[in-house]
Amino acid sequence: MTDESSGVVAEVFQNEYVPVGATVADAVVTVTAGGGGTSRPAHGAPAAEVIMIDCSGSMSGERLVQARKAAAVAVDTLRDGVSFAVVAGTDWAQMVYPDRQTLAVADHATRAAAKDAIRHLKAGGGTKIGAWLTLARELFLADRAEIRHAILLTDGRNGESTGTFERALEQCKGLFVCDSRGVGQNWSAAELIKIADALLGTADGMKDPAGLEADFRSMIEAAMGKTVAGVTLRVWTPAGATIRFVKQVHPEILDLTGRRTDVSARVGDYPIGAWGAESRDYHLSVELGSDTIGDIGEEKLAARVSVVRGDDVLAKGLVRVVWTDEEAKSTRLNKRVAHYTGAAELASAIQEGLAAREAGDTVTATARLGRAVQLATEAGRSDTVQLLGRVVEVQDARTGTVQLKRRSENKDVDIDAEIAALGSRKTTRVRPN
Amino acid sequence: MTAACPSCAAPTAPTDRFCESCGNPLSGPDIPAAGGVWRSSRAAGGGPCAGCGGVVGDDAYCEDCGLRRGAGLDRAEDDLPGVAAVTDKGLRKGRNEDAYAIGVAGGRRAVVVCDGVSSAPDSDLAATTAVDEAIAVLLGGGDIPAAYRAASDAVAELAGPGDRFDAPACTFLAAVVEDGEATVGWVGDSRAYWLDGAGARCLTVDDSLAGQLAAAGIDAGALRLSAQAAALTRWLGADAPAGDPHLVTLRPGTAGILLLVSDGLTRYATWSEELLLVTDGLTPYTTWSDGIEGAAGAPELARRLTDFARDAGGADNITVTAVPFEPSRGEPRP
Repeated sequence: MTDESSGVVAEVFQNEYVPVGATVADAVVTVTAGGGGTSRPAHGAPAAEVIMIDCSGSMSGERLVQARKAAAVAVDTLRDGVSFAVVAGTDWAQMVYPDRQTLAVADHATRAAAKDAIRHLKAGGGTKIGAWLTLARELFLADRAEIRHAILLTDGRNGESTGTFERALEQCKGLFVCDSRGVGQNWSAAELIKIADALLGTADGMKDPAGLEADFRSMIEAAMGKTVAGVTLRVWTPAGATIRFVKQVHPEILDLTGRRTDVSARVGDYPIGAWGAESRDYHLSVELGSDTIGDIGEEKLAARVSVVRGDDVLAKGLVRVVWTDEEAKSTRLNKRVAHYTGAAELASAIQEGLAAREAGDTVTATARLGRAVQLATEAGRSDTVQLLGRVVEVQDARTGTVQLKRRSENKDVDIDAEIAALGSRKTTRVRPN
Repeated sequence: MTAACPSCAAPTAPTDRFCESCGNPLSGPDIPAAGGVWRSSRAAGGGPCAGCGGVVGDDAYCEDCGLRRGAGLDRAEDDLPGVAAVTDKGLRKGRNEDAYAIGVAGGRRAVVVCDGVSSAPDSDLAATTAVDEAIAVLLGGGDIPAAYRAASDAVAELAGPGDRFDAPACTFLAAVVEDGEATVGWVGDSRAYWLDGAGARCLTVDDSLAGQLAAAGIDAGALRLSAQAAALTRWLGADAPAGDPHLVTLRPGTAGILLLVSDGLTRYATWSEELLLVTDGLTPYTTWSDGIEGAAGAPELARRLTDFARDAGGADNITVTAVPFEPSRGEPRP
């Protein structure tokens, strides 16, 4: 169901048939915007961009050379009229361009001046990511752009306390979208995922800084393609029901469950950020109250899902449940739901396994990473199996029997595991039928 | 606010379901007047949720408990002069996806029965939409192919953009009795029977592999066909194969009853023997003629066959419509 004039379509994929007594309804909602032409021109909405470059001591050398190039390309990719700033991040955040704490408006002259300032970036000091994000927040707050996007590049782990970092993230939530990138051997996937989850952006990492330039260009291109911001997924559930989870599952896995804002007793909003012409998938799982289970053949609604911006409902979809005693119907798996359920389990197995390894919990780390190897093998993700093979000795991939490798001094081994953790969040789509 | 009746233009009260003047339903398609009357099993919109008493949303689901409001009534009985109908949800289905519409206009009697395809969503809406569209055409003087096309187009329009492979769908069965002649048209596996002193004779051939084999005189049961053999090869819906309805016309020389029924009845193979168990009081009848004549008219026959199907298990929705036929008079027998 959809309001075609909005240019947004919501499609629901599910097996609505559940066995008698079942209480859980699962569905994948595919939201596609701009497929048939949006009502607003792609270059209409005012946009702002803040580029944060790690200038800590460890960046010196090839990394900083490549980071300078990437930042310059990013500035060149901004379209005229976009408000922007470049920030150098160390133990604090420092304006690179403009030199005052404000956003400049992109044109031929400001782009040239910004690139000149970028050429003079120097490395030295520590990594305090929360402070960088706080400056970006202040810059955005002083500007009236509707579409706010930031890029954060780091080569190391955050030097702030967890509390300081999380407070900074909390303050930035809902104000701008941030794509985060790790470069080199010392960054932490868990930290980048924290930024992605809080600020609804992508997270990625690479060992070789040579890839930054192309990556920065594509991030800015994607940001320039956004036409609306502040979009939410509004979910109605029946009396007695609870939401098990709401996750973006494509193109990247983002858990939105904790991001609910109650609209009324039965309705909650989940932020889904800024949109251009694109398509994303959301996995919704609803637990119905045991006293509202239907009889055989009865049909109930488990959720009404709508895509909302301000007071406008852009698209709608219905998640239904029909109780049946026909096993042929209730045991049929919806391909998309099954596919993303597997993908999400793989991603969490890797992340939990690496967190346990980090904490010295060998038993949990072995179990979770073994499960990850098994799931990745089943899903045919040989690249992930290969990366995991750097931290575990795979004895039987099919059963997930692994042994944790002893930690070596070679940082390269660890970073492969971090790359696997980020990579597992990226999903492919299954072909319909 | 008072609205005019769509059939006779008489004023109506907002709470009326039927016109006080001509008796026709107030919701549904416009029926060309011509003094006709009609009834359908479509549920009246509005009112609280049947499950919890909450408010039902525009999408037909309750705003509180999420229960879906059916498009058709769970149980409906109607009789007009010379035509009667009963539909029942049965015991195993959550809603009634069968629907009927019956009508009388001038010397013409018309019946439409549609059975929603339960593997498709909103098939109850497909069935109620189809019967209402088709009866409007038939009472306006149109023939069965025209009624079929109107119903088919309306059902196809119910499909949303995402429903290309899973669109609302139903079967189609209609009869027109006029001038001593009965014409039956169908698509799908709802069936028409002619009942007279010789027994029950099936007039239709199911649109399924099993139906085609049975029509060719092959004992499909002996072939041990898979359940797939009963799958419909034709239906109404956005994803339906194209084509006209099958037609059969009969001019009976004897009195009898034209029965139009859904597979909720005919799935129980012994249904026709039930006719001989008609009891006025307690005595079973011994001949078909006695059974038909002895029934307290078409409404009683339809009700009794429906109850038989419920007692036999009620695995599917049941619809039975009956049109008594008297060749000598050419006029309906009440």
